Amino acid sequence: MKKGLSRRNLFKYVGAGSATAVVAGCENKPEKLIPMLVPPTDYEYTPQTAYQYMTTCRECDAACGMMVTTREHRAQKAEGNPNHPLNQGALCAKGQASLQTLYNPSRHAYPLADGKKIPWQEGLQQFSALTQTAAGAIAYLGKPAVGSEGDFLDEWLQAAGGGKRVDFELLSQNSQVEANQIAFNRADVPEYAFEKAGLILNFSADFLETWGNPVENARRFADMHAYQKGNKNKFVHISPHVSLTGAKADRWVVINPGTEGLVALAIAAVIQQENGSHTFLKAYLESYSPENVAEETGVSAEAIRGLAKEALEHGPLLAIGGGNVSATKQSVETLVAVNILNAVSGALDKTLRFYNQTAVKKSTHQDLLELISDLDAGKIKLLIIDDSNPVYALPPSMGFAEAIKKTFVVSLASQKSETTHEANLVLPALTAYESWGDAFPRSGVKSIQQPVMSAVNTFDAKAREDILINTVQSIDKTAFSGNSNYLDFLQDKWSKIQRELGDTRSFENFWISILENGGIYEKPKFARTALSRKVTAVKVSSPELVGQEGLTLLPTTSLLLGDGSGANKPWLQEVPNPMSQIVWDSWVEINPDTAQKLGINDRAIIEVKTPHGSVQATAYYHFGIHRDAIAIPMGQGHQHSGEVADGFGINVMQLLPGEFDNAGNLSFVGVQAELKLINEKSYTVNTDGNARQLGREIAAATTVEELAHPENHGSAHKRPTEFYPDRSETAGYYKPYRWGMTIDLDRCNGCSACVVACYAENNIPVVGKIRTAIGREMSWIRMERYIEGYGDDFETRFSPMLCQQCGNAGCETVCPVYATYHNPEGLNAMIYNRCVGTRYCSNNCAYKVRRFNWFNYEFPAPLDQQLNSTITTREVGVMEKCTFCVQRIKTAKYDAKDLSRDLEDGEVLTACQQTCPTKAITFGNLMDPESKVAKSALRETADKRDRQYEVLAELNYKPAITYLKKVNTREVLGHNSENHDSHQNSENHG
Amino acid sequence: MLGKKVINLKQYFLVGLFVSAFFLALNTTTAYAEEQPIAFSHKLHTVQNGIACQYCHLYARRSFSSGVPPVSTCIGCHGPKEQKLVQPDSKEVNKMRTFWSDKEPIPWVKIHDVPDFVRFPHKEHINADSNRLLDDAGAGCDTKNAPRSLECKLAQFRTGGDQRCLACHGDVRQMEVITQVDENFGKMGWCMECHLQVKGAKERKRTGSTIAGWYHAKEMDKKREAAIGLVNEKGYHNPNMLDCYTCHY
Repeated sequence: MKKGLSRRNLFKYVGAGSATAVVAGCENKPEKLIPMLVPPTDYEYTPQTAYQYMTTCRECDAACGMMVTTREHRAQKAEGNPNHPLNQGALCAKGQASLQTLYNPSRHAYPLADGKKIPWQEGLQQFSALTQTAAGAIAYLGKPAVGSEGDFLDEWLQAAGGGKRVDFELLSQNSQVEANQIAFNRADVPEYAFEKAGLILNFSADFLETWGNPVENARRFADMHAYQKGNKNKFVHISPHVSLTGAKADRWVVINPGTEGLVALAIAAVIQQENGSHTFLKAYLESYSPENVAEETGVSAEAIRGLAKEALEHGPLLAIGGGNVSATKQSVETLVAVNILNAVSGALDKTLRFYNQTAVKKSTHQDLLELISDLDAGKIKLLIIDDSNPVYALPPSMGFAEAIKKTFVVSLASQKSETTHEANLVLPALTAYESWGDAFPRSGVKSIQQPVMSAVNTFDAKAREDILINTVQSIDKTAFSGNSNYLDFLQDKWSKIQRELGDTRSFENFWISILENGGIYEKPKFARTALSRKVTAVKVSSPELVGQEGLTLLPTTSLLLGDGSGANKPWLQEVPNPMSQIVWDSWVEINPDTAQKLGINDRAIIEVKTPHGSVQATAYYHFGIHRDAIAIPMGQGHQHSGEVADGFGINVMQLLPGEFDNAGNLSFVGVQAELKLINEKSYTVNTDGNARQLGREIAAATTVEELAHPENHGSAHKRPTEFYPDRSETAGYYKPYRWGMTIDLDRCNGCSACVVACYAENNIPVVGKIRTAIGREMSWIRMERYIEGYGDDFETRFSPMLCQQCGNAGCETVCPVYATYHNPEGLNAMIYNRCVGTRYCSNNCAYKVRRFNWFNYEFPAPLDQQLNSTITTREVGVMEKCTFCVQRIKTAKYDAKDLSRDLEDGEVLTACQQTCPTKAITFGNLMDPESKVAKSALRETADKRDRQYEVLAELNYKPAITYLKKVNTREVLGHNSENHDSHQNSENHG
Repeated sequence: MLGKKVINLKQYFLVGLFVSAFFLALNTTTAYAEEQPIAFSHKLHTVQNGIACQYCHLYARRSFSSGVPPVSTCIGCHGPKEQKLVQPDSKEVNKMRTFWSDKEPIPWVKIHDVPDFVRFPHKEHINADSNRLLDDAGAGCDTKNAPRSLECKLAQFRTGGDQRCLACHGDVRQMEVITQVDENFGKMGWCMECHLQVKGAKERKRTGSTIAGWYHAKEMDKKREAAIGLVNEKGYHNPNMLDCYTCHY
């Protein structure tokens, strides 16, 4: 017999020992019950109850209407305002993440003078004194005004003794406005009526990401492009680069960088020849005939004629131009060319409509140059900067960072940034969630921004406008007609609006109705527009970027990080970029053909060098880029923007020369880059296991032709025949609800707003780059991206993947403690307090949607104030997954019970469904044959199906989610997997 | 061989020590109370002065939380120091007045607590239809000898009004210091005692394996479903009170 401690005895001791340790650790400290001193009387208050406030999203200047849910007077969830005509209830990923602007731990918590904390009183005094001495030599640099703040700032500058206001926005539409002025005599951005178009020709614009209002664009685009009643309209992407927008295209026409204008004119030339409109253009367009431009653009004359033919057949056409990728020094000419194409094809006043208004003149990037030279010359004594971040965003060669050292910089920003790091005095401003404002983004749309909660208590900040009023009134008491705060100023403005509307209610009633609705929404008034004869003076030529040494650098935008303002938000860093599936990083998109020629492997670290700077980043093989170009997304590479942003990726702006187009806008394209292999391996983290479906048909597609024949309906993968009866025939199950969902892959464009919405709604922790690398990301819904085909003819498919709430789930049967089981309403319930963390369920889940809490994840204060208080925040050792937003189902059921009825269709919206700009997700009760979801799921018989399929149906898990196939207008590439050629490397993304 | 036995005894002794320590530590007194910042007497306010529970805990029928009354509710009757309203000179009331004048909330100690993974809606219980209880639920309550028996709790719940609050919280109206009467308050078995007294609850609980009852499964299912009484007389489906998702999500 062995002496000493046997294994069995060891466990006995350890077990008993840990039991005592647990007892010691769990000392039951009673919680405190802290009542309020006085319950609020200025707003309705019931504890643990959701209240919604209408306001305006200010993450970009699209100014969508927003509805913020607050509980205990804390904003916990942002949703689109369903009344708002632009976004109609939806929000993009950035809008969803605006909550992290509010609760961002890297917000300024107190005033700073030269980096040292000072009391507010001192800061304000210093600011007033400066304003007084600098009168006449003040400059205000800020985001372009979309509401009354423009008038406010002008009035302020006047009261302060004069100065100038310069707008700064990296992704601006100034070139567009200038081109419209030249082509149509309208200095404005028109309405793009996607839904009325029969064909969209997109010249490099990223209209589903950052161009215009992406939420509105996505909705209207889906209405035009999605499969409806046997028909599908086409969208052709004409660009050197396939962005997320391009990925949705039916066809990608590869052109040489910067030649969008030439292609547009060549198409216009053919159309003009055919339809004979605009005869004054005949001679002008003849010089741009397809044959003439074929060589410069890299598109054959035949292909251009083909596009023109399609435009003539499937019109009305809508041609869209703009965005970064076409922003060469000639971007105004390019956009004029696109305008000509629209005019010639008869799109004007049909798919492209101008409002009966003149747009507010915005200053340009070139005005910044003027400001910089003024700063250099010492003409500016005081520079005030709002939340914009020019030190980060402008190419260093412009010398902005050096120039501001020669003046006194006062920053009125809420977020820490490279710019506030350089500021002499920082007076922290409140965010849009905590302060008043308004926005007039579109003719007829006037949107109010109200504080949805009192200021976050960890930050000692004041409203930007109130700081300014306070300062100027300390000099001149009569300034702003004695209005002591911005709210008074706004109300003055809105009472004027009320008078203009002819509204006879008392102002108080009018104001309340504005706050309830979120603003005033009138139908826009349009003005008839004609093409100016002066356009023939515009000469469009090729920038001749191809054929030079090096590769053309295309700085692209990302719908998550935008111009970089999203980088300090953990959700936006953690959510994978839908195209590359990379998190917390920058990358260099390079065509595999080019890369292999240069000896650069996928995921190698390469140095990208231009005459203006060099950076090192990971190479990412992407079929969707011109062979003579590389693309680097903007938004990363911060140094002083807080823990979440700093040190991740690189800033592509450092490679740019700081040159401008004719509208004074920065030209992003035009510089050539040299690549050098540094290391074959990088630490880039991506969440996709394999970019290829390998015959699994996870994201399935079909074609219009196939759908015309019912025998092609349904999926290649079918449920096996089963011996057991369905759960619906078992006592107590599915009566009256069986929750289900359909996801239309033809409407989904991969924008990932649903993913961020899920993080916000369900208290999902952010785990960071390293833990994502070892597969510990916690997202309950992920945007899967699959690539079909090879080379220029590749296809991208997106498929949101979440818990399928299986009727015959694999996870349920393997749980040893019944922590996960099939709920009577068809939910695959996950009971956290029963879970012991064996992770068997996750191993047996075919969809890989279960997430395990390896740690007690932190929500660094004050991000914890955002946590949804209607659900449990999970702790270490438990499994979690999508619940179909069971808290929303419960709340709706309680409300319905109060009215003595069952739930009605559409009463419960899941967070992902609610925010989807294209309404790709339908959720509801499958047992109600009249419900939307039951109708679109059509589950019973094969003959009633057309696009419906279940993912991995052959496993017989009986998922409650039905996917609707993407509809292609070309041959579905996934069908023949024989097509392999030399791009083997691209199979191993990950 | 002998030596081995000795070691074993030592072992059991040690384990026994740990186990007894464990249970000692777990042992909580049946009536749990804590020292409160103010010696507030529920008895005085409810029985002697006849104030109803929901006068102060006014969110109980409207929200998940019953609501701890804000200090302004106390001030409403007692008034600030200078006004000399109800009990102007009481030491304990003056404590409250000090909190009020210092603009500090009163840090009450939570006695009735459910774990964070439980979502307990007060309003659903206050507004619940007592007809859903089994017809004989609450019969045979012996108030004298077993006031906290299941029968008595059910009877109180049936009576409604303030009695319904007492069903779970105990007879707060007789408490000088707020006390948790039921040892198992907030534990799952304690909740389930009543949740199983709902009509159809026993039938809702799935019993037996599918294979064993396979031959008669459909027939049994039909009977069970009829007994569950899915739809109530108002024409909508009764909430399921046995599903885990009822409380844990």
